[in-house]
This record gives sequence, structure tokens and C-alpha cells, in this order.
Amino acid sequence: MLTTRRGSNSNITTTCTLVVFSIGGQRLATRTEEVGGVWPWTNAMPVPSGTAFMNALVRRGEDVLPVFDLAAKLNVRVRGATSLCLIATRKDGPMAIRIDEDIPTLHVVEQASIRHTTGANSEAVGTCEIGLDEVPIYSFRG
Amino acid sequence: MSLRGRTETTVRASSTTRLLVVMCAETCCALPADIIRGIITFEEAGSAEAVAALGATYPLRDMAGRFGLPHVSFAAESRIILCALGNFHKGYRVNQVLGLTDVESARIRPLPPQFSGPERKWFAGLFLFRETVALLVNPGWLLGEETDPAQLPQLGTTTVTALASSHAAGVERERPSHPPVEVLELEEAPDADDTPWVQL
Repeated sequence: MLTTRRGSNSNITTTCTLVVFSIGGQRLATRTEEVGGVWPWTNAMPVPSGTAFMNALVRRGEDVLPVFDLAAKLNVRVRGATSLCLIATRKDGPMAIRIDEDIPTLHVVEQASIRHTTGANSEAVGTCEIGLDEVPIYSFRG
Repeated sequence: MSLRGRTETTVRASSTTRLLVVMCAETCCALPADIIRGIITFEEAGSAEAVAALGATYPLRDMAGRFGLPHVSFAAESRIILCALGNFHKGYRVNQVLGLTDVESARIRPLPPQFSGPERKWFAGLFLFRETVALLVNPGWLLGEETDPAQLPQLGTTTVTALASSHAAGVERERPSHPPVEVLELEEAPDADDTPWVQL
């Protein structure tokens, strides 16, 4: 006879790792698996476009990435003279996002601490308390 | 029975496309060279809304405006490129002509899929050009609007008798009845990729 047994497994907590970065002084987070890297920002070439906030290309060697203007979407300006480029991985390929010059940090948080949200910002999938801030968590998977 | 090796030589024809690369505001755009009929200065075009040259009338427009971009001021290196596709003719003001380049078809990549709006009709692809990227403008879209030939004579026109670049001369070789006169001289020079190109 098989019986159900409650054991120590019920106490296991799952965690996820977030990359916390800032744009226009606002702290944002995204899951590490959605980040392909962080580079120094290099000049982007504007692209005439009708796609919202997708308006440039950035070249790195042989690679050419579309630029998602998250700062414009958030209605802020990227801060710092030496801004950075966060590579967000999407289902349809990577894209570049210009972020503040503050070096992104890694934070391990419990899944249970993430409050899922549905709001106007379709990319914000939830919030999480990191330090003293309630940081929105963005997903760029598309 | 023996196996006999057989060597086959496969010759892959690499097709190249000759493109004229221009600056449109801060964007590097490339147009198929076979639609270019000439390159003229603003002074040659005068203040008219159209240019008559080589037996055709070319209504003038800012290329940036064609893409819905705000007007940008032009400088001494700005030019007007005269384009034709079939019966459609158009002159576009561009900020700078960077030169001709031969691009292998394999080097032309599609626009990233994240661009999902009308720009997919505007640009047929992109390729690496010098230190940046050039967008290949779709000539059918570029010349496909406001091209009703019946409207053309209504525009104020400047007749340009001396126009065209050496490239246009190449294009126009097939039309001996309209010999172009060179205004801009294009000088050939190799780039880092050993791809022949021409720089003003």
C-alpha cells in the first residue's frame, strides 16, 4: 500500500536570480536567464521605424542587434556619461537596451517573495523587495 | 569491384549587388545602384519642386521625410539623388553620399524580427558597412508613392542639363540617346574588406 508522507520536502523554497539594473535612476530587475550580457554602450544607428520603442540598431563586431528604447517607454533619460548596454534575450532573438552606467548586480530572491502584477507596463511581470526598494521585474521574452 | 573517387568542382556563383550608400539624417541607407539616374547638388536643382533631366521629371523630396522623420538641415555635402524604377521617377535629398559598394547577396541580412511595423516594407535588409550598418531601402516602396506621371508636369521644374555621376554614366550607357555629363567625380578606392567601393 502506498501512503502519502509529508516530509521535509515541503520546506524547500525555490529561488530565482535577478539582474538588477537602473534606467534614469529607476531600479529594475529581470531574470538572469533573460540577460545575454552587459556591454559598454556604443553608438547606435537610428532606424526609421513604426514599431514602438524599437528605433535603432547597434553593431558589435559582426553582430547587429535591434535597440529597444526602454528609457523612452519609461519616460526617463539614461543617466551617466558611460552608459551600458544590457542584452535582453527574446524568443525572436537578442536585443539591446541602453541602461545607466551603474553596474548591474545579481540578487537571489525567493520565488514566493515575487508579487505578480498585471499593469500598464506589459513587460513588468511582478515586483520584488530588494533592499529598501520595491523593484519591478521585467520580462523581455516577447 | 572498386570504388573510384570522383572529384567534382562546384562553382558557386556569388551574386553581388551594387549599392549607393547615403546618409539620411543619421541613418545609413543603401539603394540599388541600378535605380540611380544621377546625383546633383542643391544648387543645380534650384528651388523648384522637381528636376527635369534625361527626358524625365523627378519630383523632389527629403528622404528623411519619406520615412516620416523630421526635417533635417542640409549642408555642403548634401546631394539630390535622382531615382527611377520603370516609369516612376523621384529625386531625394540626402545629407551625404558615402559611395558605391558591391555587396554579396549572402552578406545582406534581414531586418531583425523585432522590427514588426511598416519598416519591414521600407527596408529589404541590412549589411555591415564600414564601422556601422547600412539599411537596404526597398526601391519599390521608395518610388511607389506619389508617382502618378500625370501629376508631374504640374510641378515647378528645373531643367538640369549637366547632371549625373560617373555611376549614372555607367547606368546610362544603356541609353545612348541621353549622354550624361559628369558633375560629381567618384574615385575608386579599396576598403578594408577589399570590396570595391567609390568615395566622393
